[in-house]
Amino acid sequence: MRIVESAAEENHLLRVHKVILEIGQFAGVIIPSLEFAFSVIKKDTILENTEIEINSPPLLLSCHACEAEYLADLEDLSCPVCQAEDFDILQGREMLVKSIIGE
Amino acid sequence: MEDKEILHPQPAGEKLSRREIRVITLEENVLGENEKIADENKVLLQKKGIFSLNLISSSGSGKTTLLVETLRQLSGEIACAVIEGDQQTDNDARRIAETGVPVVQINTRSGCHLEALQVRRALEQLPLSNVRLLFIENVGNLVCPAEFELGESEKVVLMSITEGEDKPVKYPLAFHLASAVIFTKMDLLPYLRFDFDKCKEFVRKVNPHAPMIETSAFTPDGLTRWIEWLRAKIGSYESRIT
Repeated sequence: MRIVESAAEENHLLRVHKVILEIGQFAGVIIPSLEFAFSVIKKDTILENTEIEINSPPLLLSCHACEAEYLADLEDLSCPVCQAEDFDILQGREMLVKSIIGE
Repeated sequence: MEDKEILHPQPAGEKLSRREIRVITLEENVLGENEKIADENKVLLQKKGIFSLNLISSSGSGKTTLLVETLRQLSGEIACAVIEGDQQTDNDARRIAETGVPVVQINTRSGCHLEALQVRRALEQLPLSNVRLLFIENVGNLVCPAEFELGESEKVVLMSITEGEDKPVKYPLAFHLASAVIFTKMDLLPYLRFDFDKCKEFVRKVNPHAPMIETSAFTPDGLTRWIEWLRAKIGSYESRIT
């Protein structure tokens, strides 16, 4: 809320039609819960009529063993090239306010 | 998205005004403010030469009991301090205080995790000049504590063997980020249908490197390996910062 309100003020927006969030699969966020929470907290604020759009980008990992970068899901984190389960998370922990649309 | 021009009706007698719909790209981290404060906490602790551990686990895994016994065994050897996080009560802080170690209790009330600003305020209340090892006992929760950086040196995850074997893959981020996985209540293993080998396999699926350390707070040598790990970590940390 603070990020959006601050950005709206800085950009002289009178209305914010939509907030677009990017939430990674490893972020531990339950998206329907976030949508519900937003619907409640936005009441009686400048975001009262603002829609929220939540995108979840693919989980992208980097294998330590063979250096492959691969798409994965939480059910199977192993490398498809060498089957190792030793990875860094390249994409998947994001919790970003990606953009706002307003006027 | 292209800007669109929208004409807005105005009260009678006034000209129609023109405003544009704009897309403002922010790419702003929701947790950015917390991470900034966490970085400041980290710098402060480094300047004081304090090695800090964020203890993360489910509620009821035995964090406080392990901590109390650890502090008793380190007494006189390594000066410690503790930051306790719970939604309500100071019960855990009282137990820690009985060991003589300085402790600050944070009550998060409705919050399910500690945040960096809360830890900053707690640090201001602790006698940090004499401390070598700081334990931050997080709120019992394996989800959000993994997300909210506090400025600690490292994270450890505790898991009691009374929990399900597949805990590590159910909460992959917490286990992935842990420098060590501490199994608690090992004295109960003979009475449980707990597949320990399976559990260790699950840990390795999300964290191939973290040592897995078995502990029991209620047996004579139940903390030996854990204490050895702590000593090695502190020694290594102090070598790096001097």
